Amino acid sequence: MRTVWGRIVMMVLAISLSLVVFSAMLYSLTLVQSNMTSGYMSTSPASARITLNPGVAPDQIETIVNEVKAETNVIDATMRSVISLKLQKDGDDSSSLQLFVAAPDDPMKLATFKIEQGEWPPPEDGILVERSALNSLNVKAGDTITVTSFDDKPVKFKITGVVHDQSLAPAGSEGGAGYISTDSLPLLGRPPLLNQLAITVSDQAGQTTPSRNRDTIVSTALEVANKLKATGNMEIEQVAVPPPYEHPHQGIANALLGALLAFGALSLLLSAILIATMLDGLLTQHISQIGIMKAIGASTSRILQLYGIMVLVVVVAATALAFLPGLALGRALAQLLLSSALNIDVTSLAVPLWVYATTIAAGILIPLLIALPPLLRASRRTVREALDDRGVVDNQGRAITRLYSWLGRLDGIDRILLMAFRNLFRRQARFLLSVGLLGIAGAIFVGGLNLMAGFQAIPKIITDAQRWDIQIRLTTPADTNQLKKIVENVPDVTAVETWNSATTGIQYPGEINVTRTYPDQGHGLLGLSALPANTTMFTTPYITDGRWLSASDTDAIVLPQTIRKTLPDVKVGSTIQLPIEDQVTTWRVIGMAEEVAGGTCPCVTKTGFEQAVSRPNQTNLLRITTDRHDKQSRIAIGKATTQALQEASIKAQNAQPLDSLLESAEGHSGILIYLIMLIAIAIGTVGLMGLGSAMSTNVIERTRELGVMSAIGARPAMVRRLVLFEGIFIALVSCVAAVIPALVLTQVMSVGIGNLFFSAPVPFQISTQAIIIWIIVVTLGATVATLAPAYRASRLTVREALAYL
Amino acid sequence: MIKVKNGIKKSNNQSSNEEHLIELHKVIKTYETPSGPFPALQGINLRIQSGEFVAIVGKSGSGKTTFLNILAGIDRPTKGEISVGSTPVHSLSESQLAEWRGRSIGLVFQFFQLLPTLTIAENVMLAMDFVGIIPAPERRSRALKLLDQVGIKDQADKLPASLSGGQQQRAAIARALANNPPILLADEPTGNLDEHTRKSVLELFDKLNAEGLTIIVVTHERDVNFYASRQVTLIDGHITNDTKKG
Repeated sequence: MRTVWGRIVMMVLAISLSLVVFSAMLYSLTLVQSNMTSGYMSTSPASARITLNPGVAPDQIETIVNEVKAETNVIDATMRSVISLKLQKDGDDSSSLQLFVAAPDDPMKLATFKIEQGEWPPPEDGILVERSALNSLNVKAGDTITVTSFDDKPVKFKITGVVHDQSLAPAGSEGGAGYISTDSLPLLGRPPLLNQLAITVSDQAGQTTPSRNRDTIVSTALEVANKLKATGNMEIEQVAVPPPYEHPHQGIANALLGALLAFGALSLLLSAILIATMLDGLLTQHISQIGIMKAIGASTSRILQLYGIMVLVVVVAATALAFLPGLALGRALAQLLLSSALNIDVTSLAVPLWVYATTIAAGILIPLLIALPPLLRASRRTVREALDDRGVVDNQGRAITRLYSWLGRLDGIDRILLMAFRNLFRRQARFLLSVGLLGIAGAIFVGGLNLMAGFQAIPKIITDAQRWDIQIRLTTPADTNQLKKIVENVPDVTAVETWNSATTGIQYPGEINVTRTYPDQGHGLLGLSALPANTTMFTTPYITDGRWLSASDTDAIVLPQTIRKTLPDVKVGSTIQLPIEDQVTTWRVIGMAEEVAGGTCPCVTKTGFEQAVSRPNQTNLLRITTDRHDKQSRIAIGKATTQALQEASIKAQNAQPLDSLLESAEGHSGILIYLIMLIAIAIGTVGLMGLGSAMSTNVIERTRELGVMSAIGARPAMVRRLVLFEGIFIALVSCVAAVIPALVLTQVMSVGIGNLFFSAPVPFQISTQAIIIWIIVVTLGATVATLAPAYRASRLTVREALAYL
Repeated sequence: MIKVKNGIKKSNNQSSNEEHLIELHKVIKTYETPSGPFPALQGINLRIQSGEFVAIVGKSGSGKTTFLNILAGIDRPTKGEISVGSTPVHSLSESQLAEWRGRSIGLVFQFFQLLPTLTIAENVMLAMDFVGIIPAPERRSRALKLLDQVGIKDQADKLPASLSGGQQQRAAIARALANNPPILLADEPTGNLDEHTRKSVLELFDKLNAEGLTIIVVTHERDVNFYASRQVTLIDGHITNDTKKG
């Protein structure tokens, strides 16, 4: 062991590096899972929310809540409401505020939050703001914000406190959440009514632990809803039952970290293979020593024991070395994800014992197992074989021999270059491993950047599909012809189309609408679009099943294919019901559409929509094209249009420039791409270490050849060039080998990660830049990795080289 | 007649006392070993004239391979001077030594030491590539000519592994002659060959020597003496006997 310190250190570093990545991913996965669950459950989220129409006045809440709490399996109940308002800021009203409303005397035991500043309830003109919204809205406690009330008046609220609601995803760039009491509703032009009955449900009567079984919750919630409906005083609009015990982003976080953990495991596996190769090289160096030991009486098991102990020392040292950095990186990553992407406070960084055990076992057992074959092979060699081993396989296969002979007849090519090329095929397993390691790293690197290119291509795809500049939603529908006249007269507007849209959720005929919607309304709801005939502001999406709408369709609907995730039974030919503006409408599914981001579907024809809601020639959505296409111009023209509409007493919501759709699509790739790059760099480093090690072994094996070269006149620089060329050839071959894996990986990541973020694949893109960068990086890396063995080779004296056995 | 070749005078007149092609003066080589310094050569003085065929003989450990290595610039003396032609070999750097060796010395090893991934012709051409005195377009034809000279031209495009030991040693001799050196040094060139092949290789040496090549062979095979014009015996790093044939 004393004579091979350099190699031992390389082995330890390679395993350590991969183990750091693997363990960091494992630690962060478990920490994110445990903190997410504890953080989410600390808010005592409602098992179900039943939306009632009309709402309930504060003085009736206690009666209803007590009735509901008397139901079997209902642990607790309360009444709440969720409303959305425009936030006015610096003359701009493009931000929105989602307000959660509760009665002032609500005990805040269910669907609660942590008060960080101020107290509940806020005064009539006061608001508690969710912590993550402070940054996105650029406000602080004590500030006053202005919202547009339901009757279009500016209403000022003082931020009297800050709360942290871990059941909500972090505030986006254009919005946030706040908390007010019912006392504030009259200021906003609404009666103080609450329309959501929030309940927690247990598995059995008398239990106080919320159920983890969604079916149980749905069944209890439907029982409660039916009883309320039977009173005849109210309608049930929707029963929302999100996945129990799951933060809104839990699925995404699990899938993401799971994928990264798989990459970490791959990195560890590759390192273990690298160890096996390094060990193989070491045993090559020691083969005559093994022969001599056997010749003087050492048994196979004794040899196995000797080198096995050495490998054990290596893996134990590597595991020990990786332990703290892996833990620190895992914790840092978990904290970053929890705080920045998931709005969760880290309450515990304690890692379960089984995770430590898995990390240690992976760090020790995987390399040991993979190192076993070369160990067994070397220890089982006979004395004669071991003493006769000259390191280099001279008898190649017929194909290789023919290749060598053919190369020998080539004129005008540097023979050192040809020798370096031929040397690639001499130790094929070692060559394949070096190429494999670098190839996989290259595939991950290029795949990651291809994915990023895919993310970056989304805005263009959206622009190609959504051929409008501004979209304006109307608070109440207005006459189509009147709208056209008003908008067409706004300066810089080139065209206007009159659409309809509605927020809805699918339900089956005759049933109460049960959704998976979270309290923030962000999940499980569908935005229905009614397209005018011959629209020029929308490109037909890719239809994965069935067909697209035709002008004559009046009861047909095209659904986004992602609907299958939540409603697997819905398919082409199904009949579905959609509650739209207090009416239940019935539709025939004729197709499934695949859209990337900012999707338009579910889509129906405008004629069909008007018939379904019995509202001919009425429009609630305007799509406008303008003669200028920059964000500022779009915002300005949008404002001018809403102003013109207001002057005609038509209430409009935000004028949304196309840019906001593009921005929301761009914000997802950051952390993910960095993590993919981190793994690619780790595997790439391991790969280059592998290459350096393989080249060292090659140099050792070919010591005599190098000596002969020097003896017949090769200068040290020529010997260096030979070794360097070989390393660079390996790097270049690895680039070729990475092509197909990179394409496959890009496709897999585009589909998988796209579905996670957008419920549709990220467009498949090839980043030429990534390919060029990788070729440069791996070639330079190979040069650096090969420099040491090349230098050593050139420094060998001829006598030493010729004396080498 | 004196030819000037590679900066070294080469003579066909073996009897000229004035032409010392190689001169070793008080050459000492001591190896540092774990058990202390080991004197491999102890004050060697020797002059070799151009065109001689010298057999260096001695038992194992006598210092004959060290002697050859020092002569070839493969190893450096601890003390003393070595001149080959007008070149003070002991004072050259590794790079200069490599270049000098390529131009001036042809080396033949016991185990042939052909590079296994190169064809026989390429092995010969590689030596020319390193030195660069033969123009690139002429290298293959020269390699084939040399291979023809040693009797294995038909094996030119084969890999070494497909040749017999004798053929490989002939290829190694062709390689040693690639840059037309004035001196050929051989370390146990027949040690790994059968009786018949050994004889044919020695006859080839004899033929080359007759053409004016200075040949120094380190050997413990007695049959070299039949062809050598001079025999130098080494015992424990000292020259104990130096005999020239009539």
